[in-house]
Amino acid sequence: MSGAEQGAGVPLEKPDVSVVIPVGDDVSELAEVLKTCHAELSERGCSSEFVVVLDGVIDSVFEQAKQARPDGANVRLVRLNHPFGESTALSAGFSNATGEIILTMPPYLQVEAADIHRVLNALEDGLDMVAGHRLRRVDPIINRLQSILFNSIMRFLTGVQLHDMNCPVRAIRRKVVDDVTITGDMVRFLPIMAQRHGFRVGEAKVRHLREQGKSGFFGIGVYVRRFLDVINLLFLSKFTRAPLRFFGVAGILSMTIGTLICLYLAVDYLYLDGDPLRNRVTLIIGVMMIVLGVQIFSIGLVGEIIIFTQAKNLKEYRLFEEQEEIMLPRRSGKARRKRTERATPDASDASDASDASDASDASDTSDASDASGASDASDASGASDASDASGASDTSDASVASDASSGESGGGRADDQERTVHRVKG
Amino acid sequence: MNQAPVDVTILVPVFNEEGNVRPLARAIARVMRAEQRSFELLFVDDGSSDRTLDHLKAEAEQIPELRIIRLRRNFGQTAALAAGFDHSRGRYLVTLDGDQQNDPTDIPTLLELLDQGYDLVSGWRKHRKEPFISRRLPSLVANRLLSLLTGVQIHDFGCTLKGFRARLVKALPIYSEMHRYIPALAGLVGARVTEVVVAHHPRVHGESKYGIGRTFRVLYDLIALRMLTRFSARPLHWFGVWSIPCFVVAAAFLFITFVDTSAVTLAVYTPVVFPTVVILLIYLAFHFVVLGLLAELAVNVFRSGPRPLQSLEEARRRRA
Repeated sequence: MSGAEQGAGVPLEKPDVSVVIPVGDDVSELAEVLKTCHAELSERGCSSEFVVVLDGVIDSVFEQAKQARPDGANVRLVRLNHPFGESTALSAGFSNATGEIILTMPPYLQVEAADIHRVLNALEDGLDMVAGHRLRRVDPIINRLQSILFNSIMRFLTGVQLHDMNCPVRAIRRKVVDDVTITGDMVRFLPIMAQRHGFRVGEAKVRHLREQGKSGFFGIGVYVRRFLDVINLLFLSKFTRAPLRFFGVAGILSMTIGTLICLYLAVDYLYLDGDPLRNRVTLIIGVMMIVLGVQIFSIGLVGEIIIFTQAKNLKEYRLFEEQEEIMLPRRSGKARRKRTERATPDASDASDASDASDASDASDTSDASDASGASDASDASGASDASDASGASDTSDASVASDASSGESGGGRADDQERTVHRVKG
Repeated sequence: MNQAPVDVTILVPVFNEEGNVRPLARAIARVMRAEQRSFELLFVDDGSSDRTLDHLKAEAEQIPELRIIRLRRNFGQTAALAAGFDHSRGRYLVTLDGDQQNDPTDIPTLLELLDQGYDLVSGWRKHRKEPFISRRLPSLVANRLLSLLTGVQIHDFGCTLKGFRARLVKALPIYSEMHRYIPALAGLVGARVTEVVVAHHPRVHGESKYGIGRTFRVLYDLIALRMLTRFSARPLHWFGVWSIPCFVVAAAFLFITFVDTSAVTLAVYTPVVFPTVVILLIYLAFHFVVLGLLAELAVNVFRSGPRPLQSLEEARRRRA
């Protein structure tokens, strides 16, 4: 366990956790994200650094981002001089992050900040990458349905059992990002690619607060691109090393169909008194399919040449490194509670939430057997229930939570019974 | 860890072979101790989910020559072999199946043949202990095809028990399912390949990991292999050759169209069929040339790495 002082200033050595936040154009909530995140991590006893990647933003946004630096937090800004997209932004963030554990976050309060503990705990329970799983989704039903559909298709196609591929909250060990490169839109498939590289991938439940970005149906182009990404993912995984097996099958299929068409026309004319070939438009289709087949097949051969000449540069396998994994101080995700005036927990919510937190804190036995466990759970559900309330009450600093028994037990620090004050906006 | 080179590396890829690894390791060690050669016993654990690794570690305490490489997940036999090749230290390499179907007592015979100057000695499971329809028939067909198309006269390309000169196998690109084609690849680049009849035992522990479906893909792999070994250095030649018949046939059709003006030809074929064929053939001819250029480009751009087959190719030319 690496020690770090509470409320770390600018640490000289490697931080425990590097938080990478890619920013598109909206930095209005960046300060809050940094603040809550930093508070959570220092409460956990982790030193942290923040790498904010500004993906081709205009100068005024850059200036704003510079202001968003909470006291005591180690924040670095990385500015890309052109919008390159999320994958590139994240890659830039990864290469600027120095910690062994990387946490990616969206630049707005999308999920309950306290739940990053669940994600980090899951990482330490023997995983290399943990994807967040947004529960109690607050986006419109149409988006949720799309998400369920997309995720079940991906589970079916790839066998990677994740329920929320698009959640931007992820905890990743450095060795994963060193090994797996992401380009284009493939960032959402990072967990799948990590698993393919032999890393242990899992997920942790996080409470969904709100969703930014477009809701409802997306433009047709989005779906087409997503579809092509999936094809790319599946194709690359199966046939990178043997392209002719793919192109060969497709090419021979096309050639066969074309040949059959031409044969039929010839037989029809010669023996069955059909029309002469010059009157048959189908002939052109048949011949074209033969030609297409030849083309596809020969492109497969070019693919083989590329792979063959590249083969010595390809890494065909990954060795298992037996290295000691860096462990963070543990902290339960449900310890932090929030009370707002609109919190109206009901019985079913309470049981739901305690299920969720129990699942992610299974190893945290002392916490689970806490005497205040039941009230904890109902309160937690209250917080998630009132998610839109906390989103709406941005300008007030009314939502103050006091926590007498802050549930710190896994880390073994008994003196952590302090009152924690959580401000939504300072 | 001792990094000094040894005479022989015995390489065994294993995947979920908890019942087999300990007796196998002991049997190999016994055989190799009798030989007057330094050796290492390299097990590659291909992401086993059972207790294979524990058994190996326990055995490593008894056998000082035993080394273990562990892959992060199950990557397949080719990858496991590639890992083993990359991490081997021996001048000679012998690969064995982890399921005890190969007999370690055949190893000295392989080594002797390598001593005689062969680059690759392949085992031949002449008396296979496996069902005929599901395993031996498809393998028979595949082996005949391979032998016919590559000109390498051996009977059993699929036998894992093989001996190599390390220099040869480290020059070959091992990817996809290339491990099955190592003798073919080696033969095509001019290595001296021979075979020797080896014992084959029925499986005692664990389950077989092969199915029948694999032989179907051999054909595609073969076409690729043949092209790759001959023309990967100069793909424009290979593709360019294909454009010649296209041009010739197109020219013939053109000739007929303009010269042979008999009524039948005119009425039946000329207006649509001949022009279509001519246009498409010329199109294909250009396609091949352009594709050859593209391949040439790819080969040259990627030529930064070591050219795997260059030295072997040259050796063959010198010999010829």
